[in-house]
Amino acid sequence: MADLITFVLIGLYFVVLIGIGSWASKKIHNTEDYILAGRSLGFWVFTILIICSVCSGMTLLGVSGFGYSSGWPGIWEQIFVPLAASFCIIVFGVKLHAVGKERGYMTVQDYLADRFESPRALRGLSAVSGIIVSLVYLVGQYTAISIVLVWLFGIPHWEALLISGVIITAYTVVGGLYAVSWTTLIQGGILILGVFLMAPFVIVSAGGLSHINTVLAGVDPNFVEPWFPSPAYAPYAFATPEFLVSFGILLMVGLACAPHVINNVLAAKEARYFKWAPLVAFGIYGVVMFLVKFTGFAVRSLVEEGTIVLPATVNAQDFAFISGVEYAMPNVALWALFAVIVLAAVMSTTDRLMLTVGTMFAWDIYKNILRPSAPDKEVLLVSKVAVIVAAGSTLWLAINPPPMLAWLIWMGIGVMLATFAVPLLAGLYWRGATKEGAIASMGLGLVAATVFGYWHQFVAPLPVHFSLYALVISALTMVVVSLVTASNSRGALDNTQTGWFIQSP
Amino acid sequence: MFFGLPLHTGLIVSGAVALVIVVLTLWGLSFREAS
Repeated sequence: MADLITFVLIGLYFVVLIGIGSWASKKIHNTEDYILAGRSLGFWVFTILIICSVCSGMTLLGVSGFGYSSGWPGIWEQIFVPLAASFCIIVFGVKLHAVGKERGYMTVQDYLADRFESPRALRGLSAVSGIIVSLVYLVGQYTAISIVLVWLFGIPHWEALLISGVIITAYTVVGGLYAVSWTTLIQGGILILGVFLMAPFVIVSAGGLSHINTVLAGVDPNFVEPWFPSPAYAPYAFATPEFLVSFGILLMVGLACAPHVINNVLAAKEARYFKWAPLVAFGIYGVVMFLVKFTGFAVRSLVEEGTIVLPATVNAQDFAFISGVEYAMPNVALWALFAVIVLAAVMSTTDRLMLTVGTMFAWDIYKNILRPSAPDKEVLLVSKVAVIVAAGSTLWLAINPPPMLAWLIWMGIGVMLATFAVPLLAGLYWRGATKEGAIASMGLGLVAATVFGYWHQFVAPLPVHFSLYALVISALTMVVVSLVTASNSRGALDNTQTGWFIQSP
Repeated sequence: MFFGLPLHTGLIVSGAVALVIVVLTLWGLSFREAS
């Protein structure tokens, strides 16, 4: 599949990433530089970093695949996922950034420990859950990267993993968030420009959107409806109105409070970025997501008309974007660019996740729980070692990915929602939320998400996404336990600007 | 028909997108920079 131009372009891309890592390493003088890029991210670096942290490694392949298999009822994903970036910035970001700058927070766990006056229990619980969920997510990202490299170069799976793992780990370890954010700006730019360039070609080659929709309606009339009436008549018809409500909460709130996404708000240089970043993030990411989804529709239309054939594999729909581009753009140079785009989409999430795991271990567990007397240099070293260990262990798992990988990734997002959403929202906006309430809601949310996720997958399908049940249990636990336990001190609540407002009055 | 879609699908989806854009624009306009 690959030719000389593809090799050269991907080689060049990797050289640029390593170059940025090397440049960034000169800016790292302490842990704050490493974890938060010295709180120096400008508007565009910050906005693109949030978008690309939300944008998972499977965006191009998974989104077009979902469009291919489910038609328009799945279009809500294109609104909910970009909204996660806006939700994160507005609902969590404004207040966390203001308080974080004043109180010197390095991670969102610092906030939870400060707000709920629980420097060890809540910090530890939230850091451990965050690390587990991020590692599960990371295995998925590395598997996605290796799928792309194996498909491009025909090299063995382990070689693909080793090449990508070494490059990402190298620039993340030496350059911290400086390297991650600036490489993400490049990767995000490539992703956005690439999708803008390629998706219209595929859509036009399939006869345009009107023709595509007519073909989709011929396959199943519900493919052009805003949702499916019932999940009963086909395996792909799960996007019913009640499911979409739970799906919306899962994607918008669950992704917004994911550790590798929410921590970005602490690194923004100025508070004024929060004014237009939500609209800009939604606008850019929304257009990209819609175009990718339309590409999935276009490929379904091309397949139904017998123009192209997808590979005969179980996950054939995940090849929709690749097959569409292959058909519409036989031009070699563009094909090479496409390879870089897919890699950019996957790598921009992977590096942020690795840094987040390293940070949570080094700062929250090592420095704040295990060895409070550790000097800054030691914490910095532990961060770097933790990134390498996270990369090594997830690469090892990705070589033989667990058979239920897709389930594990969905499980990961569900657990993020059920574990972090309630303590964060209640902490920021409800002065009555207590330490005991936060610990109980986080713990029970984690357990409930695991139980309902298992139930949905292995016992009996649930009518809405399993995480919604866990979220409700977590919220009820927070309210009940908080009402029967003593409030946090007034000083802690005032210091953390707790109250029913986004910007302090 | 709306790009080959039933009218109600086109209106619901584009209405939802428009609503989000309006809400985010209102957020931007009401944001106080001084804080």
